[in-house]
Amino acid sequence: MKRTQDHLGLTTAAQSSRPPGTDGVWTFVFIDMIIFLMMFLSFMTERLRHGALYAASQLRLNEFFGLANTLILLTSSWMVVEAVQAARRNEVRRVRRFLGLAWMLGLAFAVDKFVEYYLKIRAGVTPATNSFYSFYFFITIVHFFHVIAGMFFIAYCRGNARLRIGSERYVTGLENVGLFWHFVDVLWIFIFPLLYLVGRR
Amino acid sequence: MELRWHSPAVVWCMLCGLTLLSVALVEEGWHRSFASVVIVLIAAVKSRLVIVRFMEANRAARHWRFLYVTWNFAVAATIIIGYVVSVAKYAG
Repeated sequence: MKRTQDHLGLTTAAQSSRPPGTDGVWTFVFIDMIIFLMMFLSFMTERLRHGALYAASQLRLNEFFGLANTLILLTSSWMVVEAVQAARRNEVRRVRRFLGLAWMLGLAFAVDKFVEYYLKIRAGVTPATNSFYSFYFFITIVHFFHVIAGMFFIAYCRGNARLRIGSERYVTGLENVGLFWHFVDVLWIFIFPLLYLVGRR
Repeated sequence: MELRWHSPAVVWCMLCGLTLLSVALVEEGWHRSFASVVIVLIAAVKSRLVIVRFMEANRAARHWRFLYVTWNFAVAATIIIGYVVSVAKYAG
């Protein structure tokens, strides 16, 4: 589709054909993915050494907390996709609505995680309990910080939507936020089976 | 609104369906080893869907798509190989 742009950088076509996001964010996300791959590798290596302990510890996790968080993040990812598409069409109300929903779902993820941590700690389970729980808390807390960062970026884009909608820079920025948010979702797609499901009887 | 198989709503339905299938495999008491491998494969399919459809890696530069899909394969292989080796170790 042909795209025209005036001196202020305003995009007038419904959708551009350029690649989504910027190379810098694709690179940043990929480096972060490699770090998580190393964490998963370390977890599986320890699991090999302490199979019985890991199986017993995993049984004390409630998989329905993980399931709820998976469905929440998948839905929020969908909302962000809709927001990006709306931004390409310069539909400010839809952008704000979908980003608002995505942010609320991020908050729901945080509440679910806090309840899960609270119940674990109240039951006497801490990162010091054993190596399975060290990994459980470390991996999920590092992931949780990514969720919080993503929520901040989403709120920033939503706050700027009215002023900056229509500029190519805004669309690219929102695409970058989308890339990051989907990456957070992809991580959880693997964290859920890794910690809660694989090997569960 | 026209719904095509690759529209975001349809992809989201597929992702949720695959997630529920993963949990059902555990809850319905499938053979543990078999179910675990299938669950990781399902996670790899879900992750690929998000990378290609939601992140739009299919529209990004070719090397990004290659690197992200390779990462997806590497994570799934790490978990499956680690799990299968641990099952073999403790069965022996």
